[in-house]
Amino acid sequence: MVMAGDAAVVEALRRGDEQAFAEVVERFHPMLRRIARGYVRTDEAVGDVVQETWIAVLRGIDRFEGRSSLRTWVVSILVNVARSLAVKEARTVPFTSLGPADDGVAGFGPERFQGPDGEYPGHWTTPPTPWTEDPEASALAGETRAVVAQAVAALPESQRAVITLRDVDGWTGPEVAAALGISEGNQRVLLHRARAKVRLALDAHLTAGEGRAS
Amino acid sequence: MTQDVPEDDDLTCTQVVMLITDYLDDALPTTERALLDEHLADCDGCSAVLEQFRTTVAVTGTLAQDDVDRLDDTTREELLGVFRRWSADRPPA
Ligand SMILES: [Zn+2]
Repeated sequence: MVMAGDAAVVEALRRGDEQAFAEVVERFHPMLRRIARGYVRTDEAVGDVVQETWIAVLRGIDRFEGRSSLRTWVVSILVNVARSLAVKEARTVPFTSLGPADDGVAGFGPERFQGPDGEYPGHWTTPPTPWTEDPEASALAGETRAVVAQAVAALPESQRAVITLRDVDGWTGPEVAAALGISEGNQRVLLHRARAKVRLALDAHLTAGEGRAS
Repeated sequence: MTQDVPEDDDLTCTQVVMLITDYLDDALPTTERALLDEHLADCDGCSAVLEQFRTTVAVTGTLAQDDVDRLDDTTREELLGVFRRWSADRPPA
């Protein structure tokens, strides 16, 4: 998706318009840092990744053809920069593979479903119940955010990149697939696994003290 | 709510739970979506899970409000320096 104004911004950057650069840096910065943090550990390395990304963006600005949106293009550059740095730190897995399937079904243990001999195979043994506390209620909001931030931080890098772009930065599925160089289907599998783990963390947090996860 | 006896092409709860993100993305073929809607109408457990996923997405969205990643003055100056050096080295159009 090409955003209105991308072409004008790119033109301004090519002309050397510093104000245009300052604005686009301001706009993209939090997002770029959030994504970079999925690949490298230290704050310093995150800063390096973001700076290297802008250098690469400027060097490549004449090659930007507007086939994707500017932010999609910038993020795909960031992912490359971050990955090559992570490779140097020797902690990375092939991004295009989905990785091993997680245990259970979207965070629910196999014991939550009836086996082939049950009355209704594949249906709940004990059905989950709605959360009684609203995690978005103001009294809980700060605490809940910390739980979610921690759960997101603990995700494998590919799941973390996808959930960050989709659910934190509000990108569409096709945009995320394009920026990360994966298929839309795989993008959705990674998103589902990521959401399942965050849901599980929220569930544990919201039902703590009730004796049983919902 | 009583649960109807499942028919052959009905989805199981296991299947529904695996399809929730596809469902929320509106990425299911119409027939499969209809089966899922029918299942949800009858199954309180899966309906609760769907709501929990929606809430999870909403709460994850609030992470954008955290300001740990906002651009600070030092970094802004560094990046503007990058731009000035790039601009100075650039051959005139
Ligand atoms: Zn069900």
